[in-house]
Amino acid sequence: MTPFPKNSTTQPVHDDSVLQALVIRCLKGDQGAFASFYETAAPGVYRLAYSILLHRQDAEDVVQESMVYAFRNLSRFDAARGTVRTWLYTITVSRCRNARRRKWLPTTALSHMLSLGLEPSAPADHTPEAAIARMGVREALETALATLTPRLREAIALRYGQGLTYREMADVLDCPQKTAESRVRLAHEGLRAAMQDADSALIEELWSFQS
Amino acid sequence: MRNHVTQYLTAYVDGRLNHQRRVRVAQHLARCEACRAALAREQDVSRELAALMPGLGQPEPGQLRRLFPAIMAEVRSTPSHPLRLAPSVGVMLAMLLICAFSVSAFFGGATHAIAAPNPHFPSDVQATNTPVRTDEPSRDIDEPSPSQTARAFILPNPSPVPNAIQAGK
Repeated sequence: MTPFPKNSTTQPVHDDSVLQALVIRCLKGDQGAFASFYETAAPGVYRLAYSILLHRQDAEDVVQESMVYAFRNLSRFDAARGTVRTWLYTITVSRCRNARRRKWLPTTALSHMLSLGLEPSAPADHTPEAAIARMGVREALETALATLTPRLREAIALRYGQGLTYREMADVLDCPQKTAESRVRLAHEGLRAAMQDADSALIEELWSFQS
Repeated sequence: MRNHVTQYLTAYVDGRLNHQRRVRVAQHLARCEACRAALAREQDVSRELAALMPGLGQPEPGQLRRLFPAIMAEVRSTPSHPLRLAPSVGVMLAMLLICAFSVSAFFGGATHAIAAPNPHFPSDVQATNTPVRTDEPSRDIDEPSPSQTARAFILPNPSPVPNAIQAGK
């Protein structure tokens, strides 16, 4: 049994050298560079914010706040301390935390995870049934993530959503690398426990049909 | 079975355990069914997260583009940096507070700080009247000793001197 049905996904690649070149052009006053920088960086910022907040409008607000802050502080970016991407994600995570403080985000109870693992597999065609299945995939994943605490969700979003190394995660989260590793581990343990509950629920359901 | 290895499974699947720990985990997995089931779940979680997380929160076409004009308008609308302004406001508030405290210390605080002089209060206050044998000459009995004066002001009901000490005196 798989907790989340498969879905074909594509991850936009942020070429950091491109972003660094754009930063230099922005600092020289090239107005077109701002648009290029935004086109390149904003999707990753949005995906990170959405993965943490699980709310479209809140994620858009975070994109806006993060990009405004980044554009105003481009001169503060120090390539010696990290990549543009980790700098942007540090800003994004900080804005997400602020957004959570402004608007309390409830964490889904573990019992709501019982549907996890029972979703149908997503076929790789474009039929209405496939679209519904893909929606189920996303909902199953979001339901699973919502059971985690915000800090654990940050770790999962950076590790798997953005493909950061543990070293980069530590920089973004401003914590030791061991802490970043622990948060990923705890998130995995939480999801495994939820899967175990889902398995138990399925077995009980099967027994109820047989009896 | 004791000493389950569930806390190492994420690093085990991720290949981040050192050789010694990896061997121990593998040996435990060979004989523990519960940990083998946990390992299967861990492999599922790792695989599914790696496959699905990059696709979570993909923006719809045009969704982010429509934010750009508002972002640039906000960047251009405030030439002075808001985060540079914020500390300056804080500094101003701090200076105002310091000024307020200084003024109160100069004008208001002095009346509280200076107490009215008490001519009867001795400088060398002693809390008790315990007699101590010294080689000092005896005092005139009519002139109260400093310690007696202090006791009169500080301790309105002094405890009586024990009989044993009175007898010894």
